[in-house]
Amino acid sequence: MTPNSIRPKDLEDNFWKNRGIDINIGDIVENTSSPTDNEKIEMGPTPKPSVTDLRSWDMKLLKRYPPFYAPFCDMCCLCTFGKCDLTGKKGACGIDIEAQQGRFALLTCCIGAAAHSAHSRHLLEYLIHKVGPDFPIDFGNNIDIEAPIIRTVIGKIPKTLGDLREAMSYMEEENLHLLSACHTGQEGNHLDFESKALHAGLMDHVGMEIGDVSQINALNLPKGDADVPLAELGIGVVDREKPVVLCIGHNVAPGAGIIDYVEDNELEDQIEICGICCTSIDMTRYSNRAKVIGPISKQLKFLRSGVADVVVVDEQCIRSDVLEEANKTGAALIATTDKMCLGLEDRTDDTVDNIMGDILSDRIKGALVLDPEKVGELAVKLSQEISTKRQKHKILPTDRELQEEASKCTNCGWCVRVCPNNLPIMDAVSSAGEGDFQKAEELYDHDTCYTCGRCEGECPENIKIMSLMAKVGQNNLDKQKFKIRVGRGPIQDVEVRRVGAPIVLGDIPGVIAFVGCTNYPNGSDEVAKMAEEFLERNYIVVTSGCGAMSIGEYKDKDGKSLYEKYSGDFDARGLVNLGSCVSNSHIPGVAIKIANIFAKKQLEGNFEVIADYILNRVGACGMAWGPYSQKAAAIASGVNRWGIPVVLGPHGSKYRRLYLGATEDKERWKLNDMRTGKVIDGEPAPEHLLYAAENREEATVALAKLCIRPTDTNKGRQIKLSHYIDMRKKYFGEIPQDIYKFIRTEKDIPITYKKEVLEILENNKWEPREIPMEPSILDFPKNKVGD
Amino acid sequence: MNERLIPWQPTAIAGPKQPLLVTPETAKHMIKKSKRPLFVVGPYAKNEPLLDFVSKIAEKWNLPIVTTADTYKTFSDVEIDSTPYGIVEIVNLLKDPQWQGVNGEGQHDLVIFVGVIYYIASQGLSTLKHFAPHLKTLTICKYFHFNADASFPNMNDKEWHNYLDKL
Amino acid sequence: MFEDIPVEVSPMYEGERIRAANMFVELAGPKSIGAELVQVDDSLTEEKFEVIGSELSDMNQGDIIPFGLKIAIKGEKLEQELEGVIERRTHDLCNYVQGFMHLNQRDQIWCRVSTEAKDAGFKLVHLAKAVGTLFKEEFPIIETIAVTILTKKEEVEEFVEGAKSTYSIRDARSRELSDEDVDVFYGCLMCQSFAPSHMCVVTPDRTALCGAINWFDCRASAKMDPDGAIFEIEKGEVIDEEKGEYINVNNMISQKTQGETERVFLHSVFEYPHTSCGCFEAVAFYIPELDGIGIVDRDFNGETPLGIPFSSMAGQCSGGKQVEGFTGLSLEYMRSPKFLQADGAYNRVVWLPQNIKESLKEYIPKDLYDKIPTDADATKVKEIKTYLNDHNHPILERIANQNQTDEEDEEDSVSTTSQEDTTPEYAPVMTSPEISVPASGGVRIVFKNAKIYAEKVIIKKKK
Repeated sequence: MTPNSIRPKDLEDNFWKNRGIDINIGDIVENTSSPTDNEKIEMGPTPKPSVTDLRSWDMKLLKRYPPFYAPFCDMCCLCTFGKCDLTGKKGACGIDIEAQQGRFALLTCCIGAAAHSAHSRHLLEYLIHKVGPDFPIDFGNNIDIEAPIIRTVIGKIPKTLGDLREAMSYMEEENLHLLSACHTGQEGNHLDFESKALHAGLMDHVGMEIGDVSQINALNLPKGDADVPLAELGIGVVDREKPVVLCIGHNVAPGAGIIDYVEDNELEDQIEICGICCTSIDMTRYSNRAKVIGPISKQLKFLRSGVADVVVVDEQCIRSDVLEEANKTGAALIATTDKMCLGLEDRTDDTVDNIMGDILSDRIKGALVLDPEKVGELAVKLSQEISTKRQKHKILPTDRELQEEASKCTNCGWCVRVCPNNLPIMDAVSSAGEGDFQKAEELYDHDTCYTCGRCEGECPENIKIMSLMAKVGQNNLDKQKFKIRVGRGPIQDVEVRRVGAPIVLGDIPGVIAFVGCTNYPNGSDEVAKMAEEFLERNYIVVTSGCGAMSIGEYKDKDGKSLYEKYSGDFDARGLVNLGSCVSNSHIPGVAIKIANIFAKKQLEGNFEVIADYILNRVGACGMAWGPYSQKAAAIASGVNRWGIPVVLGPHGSKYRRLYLGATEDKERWKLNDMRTGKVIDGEPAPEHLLYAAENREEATVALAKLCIRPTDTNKGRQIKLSHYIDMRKKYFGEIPQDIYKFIRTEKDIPITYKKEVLEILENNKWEPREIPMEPSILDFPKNKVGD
Repeated sequence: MNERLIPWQPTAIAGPKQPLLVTPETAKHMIKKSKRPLFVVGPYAKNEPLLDFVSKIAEKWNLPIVTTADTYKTFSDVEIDSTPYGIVEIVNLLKDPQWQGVNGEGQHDLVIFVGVIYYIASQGLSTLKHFAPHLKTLTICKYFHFNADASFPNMNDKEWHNYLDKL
Repeated sequence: MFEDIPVEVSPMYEGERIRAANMFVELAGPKSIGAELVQVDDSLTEEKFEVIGSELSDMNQGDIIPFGLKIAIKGEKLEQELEGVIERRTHDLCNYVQGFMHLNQRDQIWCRVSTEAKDAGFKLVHLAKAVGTLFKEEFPIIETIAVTILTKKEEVEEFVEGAKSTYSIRDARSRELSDEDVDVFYGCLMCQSFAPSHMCVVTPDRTALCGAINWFDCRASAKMDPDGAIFEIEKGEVIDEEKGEYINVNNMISQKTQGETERVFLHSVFEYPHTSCGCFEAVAFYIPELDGIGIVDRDFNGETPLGIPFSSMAGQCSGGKQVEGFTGLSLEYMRSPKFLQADGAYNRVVWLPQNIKESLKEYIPKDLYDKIPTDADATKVKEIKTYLNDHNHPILERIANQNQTDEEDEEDSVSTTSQEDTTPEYAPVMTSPEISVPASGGVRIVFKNAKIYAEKVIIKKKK
């Protein structure tokens, strides 16, 4: 036996010391359900952190990356003292513009966190109801660190669905405290508002992880498989001849209910089940029956086209006028959660036949049914009835009719002005008025126009611009057929181990995560082009949600989808689709795994140490090119708190707050070297924590720069810098002038740019500096100071 | 004429404080009075004829140019000197009273904007409006910018080119 | 640096693929012959970049040409042993050249030139120049370099023959080189950027557990950058030859890991096994019931004899933690003559995945090969034991010996019996005139004259 193993005589318990015992032992089995159980888990300092427990970490982060505010509105209109103008003065409650922006950032993050958390709570309770609280959480043999965020924040390893309730309750309580702080007369300091916003972001990630972990296990979704299949994507993949059920939203339960009903009744080939937004991503993870129409940018155009016979809505990012739009086309609407009731009658407890009867006879416009299984039956049966009754092909006006309507255009230009992107709508409409639909098609391509409908609402001639856009799409269905890889969930521990050596040896320059909504400045292909560029350069690219769908809607010069061209491995040139919005939790998840796998950092209750590790070592950067929702802001804040920077698209400036590093202030970049006990000069890496770029070119270069970290090996640094220099040259025509800041010693200089870099070093009187051994922004432990 | 005073994107109205509506005359006056002006030029200036106007204006008034996004490339191709910054980066620097300006000669007192994407420009101007009392902002786009201290009105191309010419 | 080359040269082009559609010519590859060879040549006097045979300008679109890439290097710190290390970079560096694609290595190379490059005026002599410059930049210990490209069939044939024999000599030498033949080992701290308290020791008989670098790679790296992440450890005094313990290694590892690890046995899983960051290709683990060692690799997806998969096991011995009974290793180490020699090498191995075993056919002693079960034969300890019994694995002697010593060890009232006891399915666990068992809720259970049988006793350790 090995010296450290246990022998029966070692057992100290009193039980064994009873007198007169004669124990004959057969097979002794040491219960090793997980080796980590055997190690004494010393809880870190902050399990289940309260709102103020991680404040010191937040303050350190905010010192390095002070909040940059761009107020969206000069006024505060929250209480009845107001509205108050805060330009250069305080409001009636004493708040100033800075704190007000902080408050708004917190409120946005609270709303975002609540959205995911409430969704997860509904999902969790529904799944426990379905499979029981003892349903095990098991991701298979390749994933040992399940639920890394919950492990770290709660300090426990959840083994069953029921275990997740503890994390859920903790997080719900925190969300309550945080929202309360937005009330009039609460916090007064903008940094403390930010600290709470970061806490809200962290709660968001806890909520998201609960959601994805529970649905992956209970619904048997892919558990981190790299070779998940491809699913169909696009408006053109739906068979319009069949009854069509459209799900919009984020909660997979109703969609799963519909799929279950179809499969149980062998109607697979008779009904088309499709979805818009994250619910469709999760539906395709559940079954290969489902099809993905696309992200939110498809919503109004697809609704307007009337292809869907039944529209099933659950929650988040759905158009508030979905009932009206559905009814316009003769489709029925079923609402399925308490988040979106739309004034409909609650028919949860009624029979399917009754509900159907009322809808078909037009007594009610739709129904609220809070039972996913009932929704399944109702939606399918309704779709069958409705599709036979409607003339689907005649829902949209003919080209002729549209031309006539468009010819009413007086070129007033207001459509252009109210368009969030000031797109040339006027030109498109007036040329359509002359029979030329070309310009409208250009706006339709790549969801450049994401059919928000503001132009239509503004048009003094009441031209149905959205119908025009929908028709243009319908006329070109063949161009609208794409593929997307099914969401796989978390990254496997084994994959993390595999990329360890290539990362330190410089073969993999970094990890870029393309996430976020579709408020793009210039069409969805920009996201795909950025992804393609980084894939070609050997980066690892992960994606989720609307971003994943946008990437799927791009065909490269050979007509191939990026998902067909690149594998789904978490490896250089791998394009990984994590899944839906809640799968974003796997992004900090993989960074946390790195800390645990390679550095054996204790996770439980140890948030600060883990986030500090990630900030200084893990060269990953998030990219939300079209962020629009509050969820996106919460996700970004959460990711930031874990130490991962994010680049936003230009509309992200409207979140009112960024975290920009004080690049010029060398003092703020100093690092504490935990190994030597010294304070050393650092570098602005990552330079910013939350950045907004104006166009794709600027964003691409920023992403490369934000993957640099203080612990890069020389080789790794060389490769990262050569990509930074390369892309800067490509888009800006010059070598980056700040390159000298990232050269620690001559060994960091990329060999193919040696001459140019040396020149810049000379011009800036560069001196080599120490490479940190164990950089940290945490304080030295008390006994270390002065060593 | 009222229409000219509504921000180009009508909802960009921020509050009671309105910018000064300027003509080229007033704009020239402002530039003359300033001691360390700065010209911030965005990606719309990659195209003609704005590129040409910018070049002439910068030369006439001896304005240092900061280019945002990837405008730097176009400018350096036609040999116009500029310093590249992200729009949020330059705004961040401008609001810091300790910053010594692009030329190290001291923080700027007048910042002239043109060609930056409308809504992000509006946000950046809002930052400067609230947090940079030490400088004034002037926008010479063909769009009315609500958050600037002074702005050209909404105009069509002909009127705008006329204005820029006079500048 | 590359101004006179008509195409770009940068790592950005490494992933560039040239397909038939935009291919100008193909060089070497399956339809022709070719090779690349880097050799130290002390007689080199000046830099030279030349093409012997037809140039690109003489070729026609669609041609498939024999291709020899001959690189001669000279430098004070260079030695023959580093040739292989340097030659391995040829692939990446050639790919930095825009419009040139290089696949495989050695005599299997397969290259293409794109039409765009040809149109830009690219010539093979430019490739020679670019590659020469890149090699010098990448390896500053190269002081002079000459790159010759051969495209004439007869010359390439001769070159390839010569190259092949050089490769074999090199491979033989590197296989034969043992820890005894050298006086320096190397320490590697590359992974400290992720795992701050880990250091690897790389010797000729034990390559790095990540599988990415061997002793020669370390040698080259340490020569170029003595203060870098890879550094020399003077072999010095041996403490234990069999286990692979050296005084200097212990000192160095103690220093570099802040005392986390103080001693290391290079060739054993017991007592002070070699630590790892977590990126090892495989893990050797001790199976107490069989007193044997199992091996599982990173790509293996199933259950192991310990009842846990690779990823759980790997968690045991990552992050620089030294855990007896576990050690990470590279697949190459399993081919080493010193492979776990202190523990009995393959005589002690009682389980490993099938595909790994097949790949080691030439390295596992012939008489042992069929006696070692794989996942195809058995996974649970009981099944493995049966297999070992049936095939007469030498480990059986160990198990027998161990049971004897165990019985001798027992002193107090607790005794253990081996599984060979003639008992019914349940072995009696306890017999006692009276046993009091505390139970929760204030209840006490008293057994009188009890004989308790159990199929197995599970000892759960409290968290």
